[in-house]
Amino acid sequence: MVTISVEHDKWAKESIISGMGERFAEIPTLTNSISLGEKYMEIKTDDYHITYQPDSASVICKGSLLLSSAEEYMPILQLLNGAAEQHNTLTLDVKELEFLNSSGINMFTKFVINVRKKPDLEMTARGYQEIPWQVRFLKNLQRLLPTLELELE
Amino acid sequence: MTTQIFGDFIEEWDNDAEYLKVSFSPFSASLKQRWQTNGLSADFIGDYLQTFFVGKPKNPSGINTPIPARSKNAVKYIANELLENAMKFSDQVSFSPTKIALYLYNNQLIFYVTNSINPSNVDNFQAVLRELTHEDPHDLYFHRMEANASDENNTYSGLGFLSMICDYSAKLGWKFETINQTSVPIITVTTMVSLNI
Repeated sequence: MVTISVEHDKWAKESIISGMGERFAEIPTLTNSISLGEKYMEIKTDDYHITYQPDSASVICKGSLLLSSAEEYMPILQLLNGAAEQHNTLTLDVKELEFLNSSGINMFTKFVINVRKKPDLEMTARGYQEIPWQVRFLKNLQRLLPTLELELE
Repeated sequence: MTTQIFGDFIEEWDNDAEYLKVSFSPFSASLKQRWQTNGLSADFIGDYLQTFFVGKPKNPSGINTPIPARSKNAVKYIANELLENAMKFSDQVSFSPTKIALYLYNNQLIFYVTNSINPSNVDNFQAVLRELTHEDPHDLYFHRMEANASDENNTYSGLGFLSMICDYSAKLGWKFETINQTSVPIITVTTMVSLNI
C-alpha cells in the first residue's frame, strides 16, 4: 500500500499542491488518501520514504527504490518537479537511500534534465563519500547538470 | 538447437569456483505480484557472496573510479537488474523457469541469468544488443539518459546494461538458444555479467 500525504505551510501555492494531488489521485496503483496539512509533502511506503520539506527547500530520499517502470516512479518525479517549481535553491538528499535500480536512475536523470531548463534554480545533491554507488550516481547526475553542487560527507 | 552470441560471452564453467544457482519456477502470478522477489533474491545473493569477501582487501574507490565489485551493493545491483529484466521479458507461454547462477573465481565473479523470451521480442532486443556492443558505452549511457527523458515509451533502452558496463566496469555477453524439441520452438536468452574482483 502507498500513502501520499501532502502537508504545506500557509505560504505554499495551494493550486500547485492541489494540482499535484489530483495527478497522484489519477494513478490507479496508488491509494486516494491525500490530505492537505501544514509543513511537508511525502510519499511513504514499506520500502521507501520521500519527503519534500519546503522550509529547508529539500527533498530527502530514504529506503530502497526498486519500482518496475517509469509509470510507477511518476509520483516521485512529480514530487521532485513540484519542489523544483517552488524554490531558487533546492537540495536533493540521498544519504539514506540504500538502493536504487536502473528505472530509478532513469527517473532521477529525467528530473535533473528538467532542472537544466531552469537556469535560475541552484541545486545541491547530498550523499556519502563512503558509499561508492552514491558517489557514482551523483557524479553521473552532475555530468547531466554541470551546475549541480555535490556535498559528499 | 541454434545459438547466437552477442558481446563477451563466456560459457559456464564450474570447476575451481564457488557457485550458487537459483531457479524460479514459472507461474501465473502477475508481474506486479512477483516483482518483490527480485529485491529479496538480490539481497540474499549479495549477503551470500559477502561471506567470501570478508577479510579480503577492498578494491580502491574514489570519486571517479567504478563501483568496487566487492561492495555488497555491486552484487545486489547486478543480480537485481538481471532478475528484473528476466521477469519483465520472460515468455509466460513457454512455462520455462528463470535461472540465476553465480561463479566466484579467484579474481572474477560471473553472473548468468537465463530466461525464455517471446519470439516477437527477439529482433528488438538483439538490435539493442548490437548497439550496446558496437558503440562507445559511456557515450551511449548518457545519450540514452537524454533520450529516455523525452521518450516515455522506450521499453528496450538498455540503461540497466549500460550502468553495469559504465558504473561497475562489467563485461557483458548474451547467448540466444532456440530449442526445437517442442511443438512450438522455445527461445531462451542467457545474460552473462563478468566482474573483476
